[in-house]
Amino acid sequence: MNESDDPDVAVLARIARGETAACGVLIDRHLPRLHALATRLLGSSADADEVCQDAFVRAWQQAPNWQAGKARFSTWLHQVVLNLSRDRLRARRESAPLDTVAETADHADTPEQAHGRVEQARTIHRALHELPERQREALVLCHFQGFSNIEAAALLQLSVDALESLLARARRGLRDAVLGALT
Amino acid sequence: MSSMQPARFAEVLDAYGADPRRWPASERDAALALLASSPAARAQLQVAASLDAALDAHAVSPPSSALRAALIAAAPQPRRGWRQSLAELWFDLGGWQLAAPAFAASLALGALLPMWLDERATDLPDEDLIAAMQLTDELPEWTP
Repeated sequence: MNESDDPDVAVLARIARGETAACGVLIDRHLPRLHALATRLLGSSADADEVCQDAFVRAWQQAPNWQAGKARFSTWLHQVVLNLSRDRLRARRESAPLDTVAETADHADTPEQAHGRVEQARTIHRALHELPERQREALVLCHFQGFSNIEAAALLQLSVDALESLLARARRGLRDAVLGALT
Repeated sequence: MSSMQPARFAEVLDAYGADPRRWPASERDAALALLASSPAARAQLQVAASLDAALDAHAVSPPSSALRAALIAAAPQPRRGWRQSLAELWFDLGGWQLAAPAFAASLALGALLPMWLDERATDLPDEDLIAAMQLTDELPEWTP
């Protein structure tokens, strides 16, 4: 990978020169996806806030030393959030609170439809967090974060075949839990 | 492009779901070709799509503006050059609000001090000075 392949390299150079505005650019570019990743892995928006704060502190420290060409900075950031989320889950080792189901009801919904949408979101949320940790990581990276199988396998330090096996087991588990509950 | 077997197509759907954008890039074209030619493959795709739709309904709350503000607050501060440090010192000391009265006071002092000194000044030498000059004059008077 050369420097022009990674759009963050120029922003990192500006941060290293002390341009605070460039920090805002990096935050706006990556925070929504990183926050969604941490929220889905941890099941808590408040925990995701803390993970993102830790991740960006590391990003500021890394900016002056970043060497273009090894990996994309966004991939590195995802790896940091993944590791911080794992640490937090290991420390917690308890059921995830269901406080992160976003308001999915449409304004045009009737009260019954709105209630149905929220219930559906809760069902999926619960099923996602009942998956084994590695299966959940694989599914979140590939389905929700949009990583390719090769990128997700690299992030999880697995072979592509092993990733595919995790994904298949995750989807089978979800199919039973989610579609069974919704029908 | 090599063809894809139905069994492999089922594996791809099991792992990656119904959206071809999530399928392995190296197998996507073959999978799409099978899909176009096989009603059974299209039926399998519909089953996978129903799970995808349920998953896509799982929205999460976006990050708050307070979180963004906290991240900005923790961001590295800009490095200061000597010009900026001098400017900050100037403002720390009060800037023009302090400098203007100080300048006016120095002008007033410069105008009033000579007047005050003039009142005490005299053209005559001080008596002590005259006495000292007389006592220490050891040279003989010279008369042409």
